[in-house]
Amino acid sequence: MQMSERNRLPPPAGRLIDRNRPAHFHFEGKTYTGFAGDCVASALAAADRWVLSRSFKYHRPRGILTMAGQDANTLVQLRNDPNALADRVPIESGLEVRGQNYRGSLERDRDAFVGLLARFLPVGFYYKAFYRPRGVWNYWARYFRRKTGLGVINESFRPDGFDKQYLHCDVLVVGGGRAGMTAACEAAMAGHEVVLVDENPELGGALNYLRIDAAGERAAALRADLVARVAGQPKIRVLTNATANGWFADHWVPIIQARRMYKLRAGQVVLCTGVLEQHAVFRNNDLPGVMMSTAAQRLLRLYGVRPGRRAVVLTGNDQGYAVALDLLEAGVDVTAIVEMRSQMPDAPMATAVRSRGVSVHVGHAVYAAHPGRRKDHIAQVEIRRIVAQGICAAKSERLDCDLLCMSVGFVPCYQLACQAGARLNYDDETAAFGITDLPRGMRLAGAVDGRRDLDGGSSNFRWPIFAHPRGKEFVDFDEDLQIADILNSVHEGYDNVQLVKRYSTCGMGPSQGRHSALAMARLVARASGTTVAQTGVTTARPPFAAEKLAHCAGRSFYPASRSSMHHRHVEAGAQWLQVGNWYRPAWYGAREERDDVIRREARRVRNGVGLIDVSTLGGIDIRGPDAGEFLDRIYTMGLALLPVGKARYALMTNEAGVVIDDGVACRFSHEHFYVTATTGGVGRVFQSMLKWQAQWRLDIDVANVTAAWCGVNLAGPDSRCVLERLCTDVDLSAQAFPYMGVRSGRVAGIVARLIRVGFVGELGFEIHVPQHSGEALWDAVTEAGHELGIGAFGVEAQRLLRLEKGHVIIGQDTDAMSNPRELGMQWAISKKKPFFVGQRTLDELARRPLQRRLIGFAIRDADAPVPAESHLVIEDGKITGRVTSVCFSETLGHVIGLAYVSPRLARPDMSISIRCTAGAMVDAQVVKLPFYDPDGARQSL
Amino acid sequence: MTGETAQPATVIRRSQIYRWHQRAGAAWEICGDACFVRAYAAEQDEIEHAKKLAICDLSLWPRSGFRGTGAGDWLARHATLPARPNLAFSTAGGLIARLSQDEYLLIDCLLGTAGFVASLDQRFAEDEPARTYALPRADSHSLFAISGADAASLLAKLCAIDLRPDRFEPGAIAQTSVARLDAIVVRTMAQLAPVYYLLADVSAAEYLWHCVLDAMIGSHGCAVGVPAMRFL
Repeated sequence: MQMSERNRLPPPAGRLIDRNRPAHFHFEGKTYTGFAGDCVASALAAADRWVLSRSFKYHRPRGILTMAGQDANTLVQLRNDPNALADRVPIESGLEVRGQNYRGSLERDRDAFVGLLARFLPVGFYYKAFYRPRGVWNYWARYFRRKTGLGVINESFRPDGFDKQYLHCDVLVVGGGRAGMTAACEAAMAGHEVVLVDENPELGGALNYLRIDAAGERAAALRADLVARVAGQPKIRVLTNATANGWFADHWVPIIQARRMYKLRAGQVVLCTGVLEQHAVFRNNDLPGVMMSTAAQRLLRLYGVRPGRRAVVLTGNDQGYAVALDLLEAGVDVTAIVEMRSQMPDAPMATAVRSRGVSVHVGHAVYAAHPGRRKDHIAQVEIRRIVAQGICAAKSERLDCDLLCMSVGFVPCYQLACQAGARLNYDDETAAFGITDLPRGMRLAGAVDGRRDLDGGSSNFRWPIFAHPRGKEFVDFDEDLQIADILNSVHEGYDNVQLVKRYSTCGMGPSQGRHSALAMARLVARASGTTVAQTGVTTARPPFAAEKLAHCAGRSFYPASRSSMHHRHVEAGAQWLQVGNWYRPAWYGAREERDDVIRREARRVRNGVGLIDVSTLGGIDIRGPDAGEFLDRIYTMGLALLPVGKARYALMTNEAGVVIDDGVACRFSHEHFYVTATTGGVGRVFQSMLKWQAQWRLDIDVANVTAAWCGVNLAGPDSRCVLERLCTDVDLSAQAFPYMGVRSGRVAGIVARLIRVGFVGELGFEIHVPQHSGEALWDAVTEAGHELGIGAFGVEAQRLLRLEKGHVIIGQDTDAMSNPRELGMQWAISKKKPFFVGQRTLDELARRPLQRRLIGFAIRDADAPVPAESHLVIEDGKITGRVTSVCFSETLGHVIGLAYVSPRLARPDMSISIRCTAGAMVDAQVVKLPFYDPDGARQSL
Repeated sequence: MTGETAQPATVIRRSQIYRWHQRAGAAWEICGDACFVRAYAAEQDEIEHAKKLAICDLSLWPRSGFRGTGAGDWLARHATLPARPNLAFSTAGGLIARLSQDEYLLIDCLLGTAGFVASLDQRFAEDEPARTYALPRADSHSLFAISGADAASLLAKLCAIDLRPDRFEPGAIAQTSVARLDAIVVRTMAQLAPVYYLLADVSAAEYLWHCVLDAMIGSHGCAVGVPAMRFL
């Protein structure tokens, strides 16, 4: 069924809508028609649909309150978006909208009975009623969460297209009303780059909807002039539909616009954020049809929607008369103006209203609103004469109406200023807030600064709060908090506004106290015998408005490092292993064939020739006259006297004697060392080198050239044959280029650094070439080795091969406490050097008993369970160590591994017990390392 | 060698992202031992894109670097140097970017491989200046040129520094973080539109390239060949 637009007004009302572009959308299963530019709430109001949602606690029907996206009354459910603001969400054809927080239907919520139990659900009843017996809260919590709460998250929804962008300007102006546009123009004319932000679709602020003169013409003219001036300023960038959502140090302001979060850094900030209209507190002040006066004006002017047919205006300032004139102009029957002040003002608009024959009840208040038969809309107001502050006479009069506009006061939109450290001060005489103590570079302009010339300087009515013996006078609509809830909080001892907030949750709902903070402060002040100035209001924290997690996430950046041979690995079917940012081939083949493939790759290296990409290994150039001296201090081995053309194992410890990295130091000239480091450790090694160099100030240069060089390790007994086909300018014979030698030359025409190392325990050459030549090198070596059956091997095969050789991997076989003695690597420590980092600690440790020892073990029983890394070594029922590496060695025909054990067991042929998966125990024999080729004959071929 | 006969896999030095260029329909030109994208589309269209928003892979473009307490004195004998760190200076042969008190990055001019970098490398080998160390800048970093009136806006999606053309003037250098990578951003002296050189760890070249392209979505930017960038 399609609903008609019975409340739509003819043009020129509705400056935001395009009547030539109708849009059909659905609300609660019914189809409605609005126009492009309508929001959900305005389109529904046009169709005389007023109930938008149900309240949080009592399931009361709620409708339009502000029409500014500043309250929780209009929270609705979209397909992928819970808690959307119906007075913000633009309609579009096909849009599906539902109400929230009801059981049954929005009109007939079966949970609405909760409201009848309100007297049994006082503030804090959760804390008092559901904590005994122990654990009972877990039961009740599920119930309450079902009965209360907001929208429903579509967990299958995957948002996309959200991003962030930095933005810089000299002056940020927040608020595009008269003050904001004026400030922006002034700043631009002074030569500043300006960003002007406004949360509404168009600039103009209150000029878009407010009546500022009796004729109702001045606002539009003023707006048109200012908008034209802004448009004529090239230095002004305008962001509409954008919310400045917080303030952070040095004028860093996140601005949310559509799917983007701008991270704006401004030189100065001018806040022209205007004011937020406040509601009066009386019984049933939350009924649909009771709204702020500015909400009615927004409906009229922005959307061309008549907010009711028969209206009463409750006012405590001159703004109420402007609204009355607007309503009259729109054909609304204004039954009465309820003027809370003791005298009717002598203002042109008040005179104009009176001249239209509208009755004015001076010195009266709305004591209660009454719903109609269906209890979902206002039908009458009950007015009474005010006899004292917040006290009404007993005699009442009822006025029929379907609209009550409240105009009782305004609060400056202080949130950003207070987030920046400004103070909010309340003047008990004028009942108005002022903002002081702004930080450097922040200024206020317009209504937020108390300059209220647009609405004739309307002041706040001092006490628009009228308690009712039957309650339901809501202070906070978000949380269904009534006057009694606030007063009871104070009576229970929470006599500070911050405590009341936390105890009652007043101001903690979606609208964050925008409309409850002042009323709560007034009530707390009265109940605690202080003034509002003394009481103050609760702290304003970012964000100003709700922001999506997708905004915070934005575009994701996860750097990924790839060697220049990466795509050759992809083509060869590599399975990947991520090491830091790097992606390394783990093995080449199907996942389900993992073990077979790894053994095949290892077999090829042992018996023929294999090729592995070692580009991810760190590379650091140390150059200069003191290069040798520097490395002597950094590494445990003696390196200063290393001959040119030779390499040496380099072990690095920190000041605590803990092994932190290892590699190979290669001397290419007297003043040039090229040091390799582990893939994950090179960053830390480089930083450590820079730190020590900053202290030692030796005559050297340290350059991290990891990215500049890539490399392969050509390993296996046939590796020399392959390399000889590509490298003719270096004598590769064992005599001329022995184990641990280094050479410079060309491989396949590419400048290369050649290192004879044997990490996998076979004849091998590491070939390092400039990064951009890496793929060409891979191609050339693969082609040259084709006849010899060359194949790539991955990190897993390399781990197996090195384990057979008994080589440790830093980070896998070591931890944050491992020292060289525990690892059995005293051979890597020079005793002739006067100093190296960690030396003193190692000397101390050498005088103490060893606590544990890394040993090699073998399990020769083929039927025994195979332990995994980190399985525990058990001795006399106690944990004394753990396995660090383990695998089946096809070469040796049994399982081998490395484990930490107590020193007592660290002798060959001792037996250790390892607790495997599901508690199964396996005995392993301690074996002298290395497992394979103990004489190193194969790597020295 | 140019046109269809030139292919990056036939030369020794290959950009990390040459496969992307191939998929995008690049035509190639070979300079020395490297291969550059000549164009993906009509050259005039690419020039127009370059003025608005474009990216160009210059990772193989000749460059070098020198560092050390003697580097400034030695380089000053061969070229005019920027007066202070984080300033770049264009010479006829190329661009010299001073990255710190004692560190310089050299990039050949786009108007042709004039040999500026090669000649300095050659002189360095001959002079062997004291306390001056060559840095492998040709391979340590990828180099992308991002150009056009919207380039600063694009970079603002990736980098926190204010790179607006009137605030980050020709010759300015920012050593910063771009898409969570350590990066060097240099504003070149291009006349017709702002051009930013973006240098970052070469191993992350594919990642960064795709970050820039992703940030371009909705901005009508695209990749262009070297001639279009040269035109600016």
